[in-house]
Amino acid sequence: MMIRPTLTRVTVALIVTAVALAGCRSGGRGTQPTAPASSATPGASASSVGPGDAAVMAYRGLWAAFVEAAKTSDPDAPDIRKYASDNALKLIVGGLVSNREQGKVVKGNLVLNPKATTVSATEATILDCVDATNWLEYKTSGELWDNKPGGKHRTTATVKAVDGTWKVSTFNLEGTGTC
Amino acid sequence: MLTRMPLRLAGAGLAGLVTAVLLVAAPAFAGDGTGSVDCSQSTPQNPKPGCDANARSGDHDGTTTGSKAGGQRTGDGKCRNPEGQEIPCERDGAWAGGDGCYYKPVDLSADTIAALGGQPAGEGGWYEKTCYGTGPGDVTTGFGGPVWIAGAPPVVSPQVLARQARARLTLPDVAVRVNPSGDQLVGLPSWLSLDPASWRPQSATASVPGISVTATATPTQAVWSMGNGDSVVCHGPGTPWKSGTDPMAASPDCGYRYPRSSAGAPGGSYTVTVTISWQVTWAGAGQGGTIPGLTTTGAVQVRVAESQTVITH
Repeated sequence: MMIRPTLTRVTVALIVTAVALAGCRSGGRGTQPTAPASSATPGASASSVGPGDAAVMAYRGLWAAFVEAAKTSDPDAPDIRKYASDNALKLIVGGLVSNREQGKVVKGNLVLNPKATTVSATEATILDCVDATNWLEYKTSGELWDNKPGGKHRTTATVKAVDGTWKVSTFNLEGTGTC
Repeated sequence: MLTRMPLRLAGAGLAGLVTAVLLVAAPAFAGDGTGSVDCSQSTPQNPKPGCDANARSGDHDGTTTGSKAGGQRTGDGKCRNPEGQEIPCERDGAWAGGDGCYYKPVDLSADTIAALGGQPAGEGGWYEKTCYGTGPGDVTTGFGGPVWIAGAPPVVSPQVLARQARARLTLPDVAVRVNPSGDQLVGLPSWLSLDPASWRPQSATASVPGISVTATATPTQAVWSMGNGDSVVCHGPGTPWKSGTDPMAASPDCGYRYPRSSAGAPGGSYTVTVTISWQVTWAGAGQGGTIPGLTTTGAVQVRVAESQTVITH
């Protein structure tokens, strides 16, 4: 389905992007990744909130599911499938398999500050500065994996609504110190 | 049309700007938990699943063929990279391929395989592929996530051959018997058993010159789902009921009594499903071990009648 761009949408998107980029550079306000408040439906329901909010909720839901699954390196955690599809699902499930094969788990707190930068009825782009300073890799035996510090990662994600359920479909996290 | 075109270009320009920003991300190695999903660590040689569409359009989707990677060991028994330099044959539990990268077979669940886009058709296997830097102090790229290698395995090791042998195992169909034959009666013992052919160890072998590995599947338990929500776990094929046996006698090893008739179930009968778990072990080249097991299932329809119904006959 082709979405017809309008002048208003493009302008708004540019402004939102600029604001979000500025927010990312300054670090923004820290918030914990938490599952969306509406726990009744998988993904995020489009009916009760606007598409931008629904997309951000799905993005936060995915991180919450990833953080939980990464504690035990469980690639089959059902919540990841509630909030991710396509390449984002491949990436996160594949990453958890890698961690499992290496005997690695991830523990600690992650701080998110996501903003929807472009929004349509069925698709949104998220820009975030993921602060993983205290979300660190450990050996399953309990010691830290290495002595490298964590950091902040510029992250973009595409969130799509399929049958009213928002799921993260692409996910691009960049290296330490990119925001 | 005339008014839409420039706007679409404006949209494309924005997308292009964002993409350009993404591509200049410096490859950095994080000590934090994001390393396993950091696409800046994905390279064409060492692809991560899910990064292909995010990063470069030229990447393939994590599926590679093992044809050019096979035969990693040269005549002198050493492992060498494509430049001819000697490299360790084994590193971090993975084996050197002819491309100088290291491969470790991984066992993935059906859910994981589905999340990765499904298993490609034909022979092949899932591997963790790791390509290490060559210079001193070079940062390695780490494990890249499971990739499907079609065709022959990229490396030869007993553990890899064990997976091949397991893939060649043919497990028998599950032939289910619930006796006495005919309708089961409420409150009377039903004897649950499997055809002996459904419960026999099976073996298969995979070999390359110099190494041969045999995988053996051994049935360990049968879970009987009785169709009414109850389950019975049996650690053997059960004992077939023989005519002349006291109808009040229960099976010595695998039995059940239905508390209610199946009259209210769809079609007036219960679907009894049996799932057999097989342990898979392998042995060869002086080594051996256990690899993830297999299951087989079978089903049969069972009608359960109230005893009075029979008495009135």
